Amino acid sequence: MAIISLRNVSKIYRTAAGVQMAALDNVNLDIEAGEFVAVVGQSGSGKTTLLNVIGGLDQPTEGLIKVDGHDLTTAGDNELSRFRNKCIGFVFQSFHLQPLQTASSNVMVPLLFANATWSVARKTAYERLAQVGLVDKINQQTNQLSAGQCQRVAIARALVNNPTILLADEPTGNLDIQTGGEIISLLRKVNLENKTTLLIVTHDQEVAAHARRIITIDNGRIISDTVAKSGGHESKQ
Amino acid sequence: MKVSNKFLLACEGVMTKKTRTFMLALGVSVGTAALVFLVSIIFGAKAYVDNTVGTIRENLLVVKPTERNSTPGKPLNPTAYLTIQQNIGTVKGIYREFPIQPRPSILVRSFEPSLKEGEPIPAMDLGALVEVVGVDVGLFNERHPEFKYNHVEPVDKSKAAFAPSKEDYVPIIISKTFVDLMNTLAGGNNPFVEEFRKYIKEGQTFFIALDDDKAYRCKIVSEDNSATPYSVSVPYQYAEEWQKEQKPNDPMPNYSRFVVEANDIRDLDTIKEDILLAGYQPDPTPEQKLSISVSRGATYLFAVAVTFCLIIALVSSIGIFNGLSISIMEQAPRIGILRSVGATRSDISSIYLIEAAIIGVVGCLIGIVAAHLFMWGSDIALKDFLADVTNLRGIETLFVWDFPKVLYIRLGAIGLGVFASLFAGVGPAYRASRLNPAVVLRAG
Repeated sequence: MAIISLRNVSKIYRTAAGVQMAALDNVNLDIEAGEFVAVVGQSGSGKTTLLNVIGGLDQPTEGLIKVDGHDLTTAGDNELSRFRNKCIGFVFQSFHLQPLQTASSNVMVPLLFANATWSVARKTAYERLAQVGLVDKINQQTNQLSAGQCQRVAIARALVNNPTILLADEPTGNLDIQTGGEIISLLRKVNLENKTTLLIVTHDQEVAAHARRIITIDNGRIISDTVAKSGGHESKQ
Repeated sequence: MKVSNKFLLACEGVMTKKTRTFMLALGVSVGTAALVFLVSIIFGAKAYVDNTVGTIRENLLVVKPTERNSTPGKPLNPTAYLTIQQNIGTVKGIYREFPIQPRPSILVRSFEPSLKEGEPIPAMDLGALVEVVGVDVGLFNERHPEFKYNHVEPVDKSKAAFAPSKEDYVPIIISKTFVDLMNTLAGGNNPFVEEFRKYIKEGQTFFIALDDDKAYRCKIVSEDNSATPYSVSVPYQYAEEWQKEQKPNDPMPNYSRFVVEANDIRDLDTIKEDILLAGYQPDPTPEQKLSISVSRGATYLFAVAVTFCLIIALVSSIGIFNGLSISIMEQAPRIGILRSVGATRSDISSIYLIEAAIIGVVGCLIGIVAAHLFMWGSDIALKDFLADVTNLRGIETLFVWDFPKVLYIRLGAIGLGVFASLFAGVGPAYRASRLNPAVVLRAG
């Protein structure tokens, strides 16, 4: 059964001049639990918008979205917040960490919204930072970390609540090739070991090649959906 | 989300932008310091005025001559006086007031401070005036020691002390009751009065004895011929005797006012109630009217201070509002992150309101300490040199330092400061909670 299901989903923005722009145009998509999916496309094609509506950060203009049993199109703000806290982990291109706070303080934030006590949150944050290989950077401020280390902290924060789905928006966009490869390996490891569904948005074909399934978007529409077979990807249909 | 966790995140937010937080808190602290200073100095001034006014026989209560529920002009039942005196334990005395026809009185305006305190006054310099007063009043007081009069009242008692080194002339008004007393005691035919009248001439210099060791040499500069009616108060129990002796040809009026003197000014309200119950209408004395007037003046000043406080709070609020608004715009990505990891709108608004409250509390505490130091310094300066240049000699402090009031003023300042901060934080906190996380994350 699909953990992510989109039916006829559209997201239309209205510009200041009153012109309507479709960031997503009648998208239909099913993603199974534990899948590793890459969403590729040109800049402005609607990749990030797709990620945002799946993660409950944005609401579609039309259509139905069901994620991990939650109907996101009818959910209110509180329910969406709970959903993001429990089911979704976000990883962003620019990390979005608090620069003057320690790695552990950044990682424990989602737990504080899940009503965890300070000590429990801190202990869990340590575990997650150890999981991403930053056990020696726990009490270091994030503005003293390298870009790769910052992204690892962001991944630890995304994983701290054991989400069922990990949404990564250009996670290697600010990293060099080697570090980017390490981050993708880490995400893949999480996908395999935790059975976490992984959805990566990227315009880098090399990054996308790591995924089992590649969805290509253009002008808000899915123009191809391929699944990896031995020797390459082939169309899902 | 737990309140403690919200508080932790608010603290993290505050610590992330220390400079801005400090500047905002500084704004609050300036407002709080001004507020504490203003209220303290107003209370201090009010206490000083109350103490000063308290010395002017405010404990007297005049009761109108008519019974409250009867026809005006009806004679009072003489036993009513005694009933009141017996029933009201806090009454020091009841005096009967006799209306006196207006007589010319003298107005003494010049004070010549040529005598030093404690210096013997030559008998011949005292003049006939003092003799007249001494003889007549002394005799009467001898028989009735509880009947005491202040015959001469300096207009400004604080300046009445001897200050030979200063060319400072203090106006003194000889009370009409003194002149009247002299006339009535003498029955109008006393040779001393004739002697006294010789002195009531412009330019005449003489001494007036106030008490045993003080004297004033005065110069008559004019005669006060205003014919304002006045009265003489005589203790009730001696009123009849007094009238027979002093005004045998003047028939006892059918009714007259009487004055009730309270032992303690705080009993005045109770006494008023008792007099009302007895069927008479108490009326404020001139001293009380002055006290009420001064009290109203102090209340007016207090209202002005409160208005200033509210203006200060409003200005502080505007400052905090601007600061928080800018802060929230700068922290939009943080808000986006918090929303993406599970913060609800109410969580976001709570966190920013707590931040505003933290800024308010910190600012208030800094402001209170600053105000305390400034007031303390002002009092030291007052003792050292301000008294000379500001004519505030003799005043120990400009501010109120009584324990409960000090506490209440500071708690009130903290309350107002935190309220102003929260009031200013509501708008920015609401705006923060309404930010679209997808938009701010994309922009960040």
